[in-house]
Amino acid sequence: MGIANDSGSSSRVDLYRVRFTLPNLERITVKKLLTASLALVLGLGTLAGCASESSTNTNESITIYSGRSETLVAPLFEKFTDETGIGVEVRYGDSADLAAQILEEGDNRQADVFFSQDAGALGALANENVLVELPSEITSLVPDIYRSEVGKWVGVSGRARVFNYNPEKVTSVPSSVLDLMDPAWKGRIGIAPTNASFQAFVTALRILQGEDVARDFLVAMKDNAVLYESNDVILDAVETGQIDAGLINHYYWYAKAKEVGNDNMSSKISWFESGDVGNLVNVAGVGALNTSESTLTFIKWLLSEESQRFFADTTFEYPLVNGIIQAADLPTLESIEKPDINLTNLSSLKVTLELLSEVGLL
Amino acid sequence: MTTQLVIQDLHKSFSDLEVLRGINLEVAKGQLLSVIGTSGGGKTTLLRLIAGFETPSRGVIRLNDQTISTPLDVLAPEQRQIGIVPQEPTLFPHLSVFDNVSFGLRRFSREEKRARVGYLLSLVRLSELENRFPHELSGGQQQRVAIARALAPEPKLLLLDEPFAALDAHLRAEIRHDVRSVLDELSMTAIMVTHDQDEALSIADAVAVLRDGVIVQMDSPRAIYNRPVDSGVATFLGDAVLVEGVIEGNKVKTELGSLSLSKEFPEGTVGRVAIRPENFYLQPHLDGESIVIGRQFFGHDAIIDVKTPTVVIKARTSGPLSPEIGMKVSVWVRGTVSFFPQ
Amino acid sequence: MLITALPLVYLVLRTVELGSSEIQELIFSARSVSLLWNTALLVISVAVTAMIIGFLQAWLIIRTDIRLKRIFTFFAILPFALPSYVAALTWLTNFPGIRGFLPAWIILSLLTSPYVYLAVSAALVSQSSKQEEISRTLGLNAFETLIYVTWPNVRGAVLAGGLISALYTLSDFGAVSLVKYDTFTRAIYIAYRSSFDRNVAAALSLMLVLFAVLIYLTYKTFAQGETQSSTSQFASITKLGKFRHPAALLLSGLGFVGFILPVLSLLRWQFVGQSSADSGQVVRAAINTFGYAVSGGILIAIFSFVVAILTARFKSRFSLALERILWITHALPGLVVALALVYLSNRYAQITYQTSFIVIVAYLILFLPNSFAVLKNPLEKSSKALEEVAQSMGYAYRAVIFQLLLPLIRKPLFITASLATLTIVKELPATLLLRPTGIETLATRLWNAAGGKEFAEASVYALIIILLAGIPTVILTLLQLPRSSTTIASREVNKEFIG
Repeated sequence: MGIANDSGSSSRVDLYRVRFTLPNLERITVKKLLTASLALVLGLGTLAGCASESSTNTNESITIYSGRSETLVAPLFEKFTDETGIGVEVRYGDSADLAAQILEEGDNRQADVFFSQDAGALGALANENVLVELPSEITSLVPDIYRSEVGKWVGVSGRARVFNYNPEKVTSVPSSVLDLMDPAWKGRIGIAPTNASFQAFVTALRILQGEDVARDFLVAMKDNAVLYESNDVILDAVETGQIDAGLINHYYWYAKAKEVGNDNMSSKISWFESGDVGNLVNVAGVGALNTSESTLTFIKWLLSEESQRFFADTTFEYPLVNGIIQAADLPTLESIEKPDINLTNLSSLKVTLELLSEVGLL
Repeated sequence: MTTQLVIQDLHKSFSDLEVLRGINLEVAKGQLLSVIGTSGGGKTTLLRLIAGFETPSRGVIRLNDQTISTPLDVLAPEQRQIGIVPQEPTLFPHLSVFDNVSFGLRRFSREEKRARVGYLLSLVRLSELENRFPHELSGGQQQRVAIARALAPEPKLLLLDEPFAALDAHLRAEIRHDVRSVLDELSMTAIMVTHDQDEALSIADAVAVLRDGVIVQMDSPRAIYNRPVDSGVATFLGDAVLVEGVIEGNKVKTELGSLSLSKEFPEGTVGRVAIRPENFYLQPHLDGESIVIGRQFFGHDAIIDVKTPTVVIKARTSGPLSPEIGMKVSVWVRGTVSFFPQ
Repeated sequence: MLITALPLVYLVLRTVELGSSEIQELIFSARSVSLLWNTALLVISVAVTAMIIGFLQAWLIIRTDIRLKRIFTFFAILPFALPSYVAALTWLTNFPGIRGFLPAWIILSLLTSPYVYLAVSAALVSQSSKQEEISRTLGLNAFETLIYVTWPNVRGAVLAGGLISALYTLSDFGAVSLVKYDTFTRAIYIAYRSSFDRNVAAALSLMLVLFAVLIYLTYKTFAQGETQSSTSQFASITKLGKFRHPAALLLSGLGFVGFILPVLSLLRWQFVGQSSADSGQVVRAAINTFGYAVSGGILIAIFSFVVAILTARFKSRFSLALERILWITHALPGLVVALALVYLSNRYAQITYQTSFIVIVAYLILFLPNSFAVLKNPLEKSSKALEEVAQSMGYAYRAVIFQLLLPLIRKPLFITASLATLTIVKELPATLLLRPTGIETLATRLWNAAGGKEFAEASVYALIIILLAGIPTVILTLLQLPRSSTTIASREVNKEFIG
């Protein structure tokens, strides 16, 4: 009787619940659906993989994380594959982004080579012991100031910071980049604070002259400078007379001069006084994540006369390998009175970015 | 009796569809005019024109000798002092009953509002509910609030757009009675549109039949029911059987016999006769030629379907004495009928 | 299905790695305060502006006698077609050097006003204009009626649109990073890329999630009570009189800066730019985009159907928790989800890292909440009695699901899957970080071209994205709108896809 009562009093609710929460009923349905959909994804995922940009039809290939743009270096990489038979897979992106991604990957490394736009990102990876030591036969090709002192990376091409100015408006070139802090420059000077080259320069300033000088300089720039997105926009602004001067990399001016003719350039470039931090020479370079033969072959190839010439002729950067002739018109790399700095130390990008955002330039 | 609202030659077209084609109406002060017509026949458009929501294509509307609508110039709705009660009780959902009713009394002081709202809510018998919100009210209560709200700013004219259509049948009769007494209490002039003949006939002072964009007949409820201008009006205002007939003297000869007329027609005129259920009288008769084929029993009376040798008719009989299905009956017609010459 | 909780797991793991003292330091640092202020300022300004724009557009188009309604409807919705980074890019190319709050505010307000427009126009169409008419007969003029009757009636819809606008702004990465306005998402990105700061990035992300929850709670307290709706065959049209031309000018202006100007500037780059897109690359990028979008869309449809049925029909602690998680992940920016998957796959599932599989998992996490929300509503509205009848006729519940529920929500399912597909086409951060090396999509190509200042090349990809994803999104949205007697407007605002 008791049993009957029990089930009788709550039967409606219980039956209802049992029917709608029967666990295996739902699980079977869900599980089947999920299995089917996973299969579907894998199938379609492979379909998505069909249109790869890789030039791989050889069994040997390397993966490059390239901070240099595809438009510039893709033809170079193709040539490499043609000559060596080694295929390349390239992941293009911003140098700092790619460096961060390599660090985040930990021991699950995807890249064989990191080709960076600036030494700072290479330094960051070297400091974290992600990059391997390169054989001295490779590193010795490049003067020691343009490579890691422990052989973790090597410069491929050089890029000098220069003072770009309109000679009609600027009669005497300031002796130091710090002279631009003078209020007389208010509204006349262009900088690109989000650009990696400018940020590397700020890092150099911090390291050579201390955090406080760097902060003062940036605060003054916040007042004086007109902010641009990139070097080429600054150059255009100086050329068209919107501003009187700007801080850029040397090769933008030479590329423009080649395009329109030397005589048609209304602006000039110049260096500051000897050893001034404004004369920083940074490099685009490579580091390896392993020492496999193809990896080393690739790095060696980047330092070959052919590809060194490519950078000299195409981008007007400085070839770094001893004895390779740079583009005409450029003052020799040796003649630039650059500041004395270890480029690996440019890796402290974090502090620079904090400083920039603290000042409000980022 | 002074004339409050005058409508002359009112036309309204929507793109190429002509909804109203020349309406002429006059409503006297304190009168309740019921406009009846089929759905989609232009009733609501007529109300919206009077309220000022639409611009007439042609014609004039005057209220108290002020011209309020012409094709060129339409006085804004808020300046007309015409209240409206919509088909569904459209109360402002974010406001309480009190705030709904006092919505049009913004320029009144607090005390004046209180007094006016209290009075109107007592008229519609909702005094205790002034703090409720619309979703807490029944459909009938909501409609009463809507009526109080429309009356609050003392409009010169009240428009009722099928005000009882959304209500249950038993509620309808009750509210309809309440509305009539509220209108009388305030001597309010009102126009009510409806498609329900009971509604139109039971509380209106005058009924206008709107068909195909024109008013085909306007008269007192009794006159319009008893003397419809054509068979269409006759059947629209209530059940009626239509049979062929020829005028013979002052009677009309039909297959159901010679029937009395309320009006005279030339001898020999051929036409149709409308006979209402209450005109029929059924007499159970073993030799009767007609047979009862259906019955709707309402208690106090009943509607009987009878198959005569020629037609099927509906007859209203007293409930307790109504014949059973299958009975043979004789069919008689009493009273006067309407005749429509062809 | 618990993979949707992965990003949250990541955020907690990473933040814990940071250590409590550092967390405290971070939260109370001047930087966090300024980020909080910047983000709050932008979110509030954008949401308020979008609410004003969207409300005005909806009211003018649906309830007034303004001309060219159909065109203005398009104008109001077309900004949908622009991913935020594309919109920001076009502003940058037109006004080089713009940066900071002002451009971010303008761009995001224009981009998110369609969400408000859709919500409000749905409310305006479904609520008959009878209330406004009655208000007029009670002596209130058009403007007073707008304030006292229309506004309280659509307030809920305006706030709902504002909520979507606020969440979009909060999680937007493309626009704020292109115009260099320092909000949480940009700070997270900068923290991540400055190499040593990835724990900080996670802590900032966690703060952002809390911010999103806060916005949602604020919304909940402001928006209560739904207004009942009824349809009216007559829409009362307010006569604008002398304001008609200024109003038309306003709507045209909004349409111009919101959509036409951006597209024109993209087209202009085709002629003035020096770079050009390689047709082979374009085709490959389009194929990859298509593959990802379609597989992602189908998968999202299947998962959202399952989750919607689980939560609507099998109420349990599990399904409840699942629903909560979906609500929170709803507010996660794509960047945070991408970083989470980079971290988690490298730690715990190395084989999946940089595969198409993980890309699609990211899409699932990002867009499942929206699809789920779209499906849940019709499922909850459909009566359980129907299913019980089916069961009483001898159908097993599994059969009921496929033969009754599936056909019942076929249309919303199709629409939500299509919208998810189109949204994937526009997705950037997750695709950028997780795609296999060598696989480029339209969005990643656009991003890299824009990064290298190859604006002519970037504009090719931008135009293709607008054409392939943006315009169909707009059309799909328009198709969902019921027709009112005067114009087309929306009934169902799809719970939005936040890119």
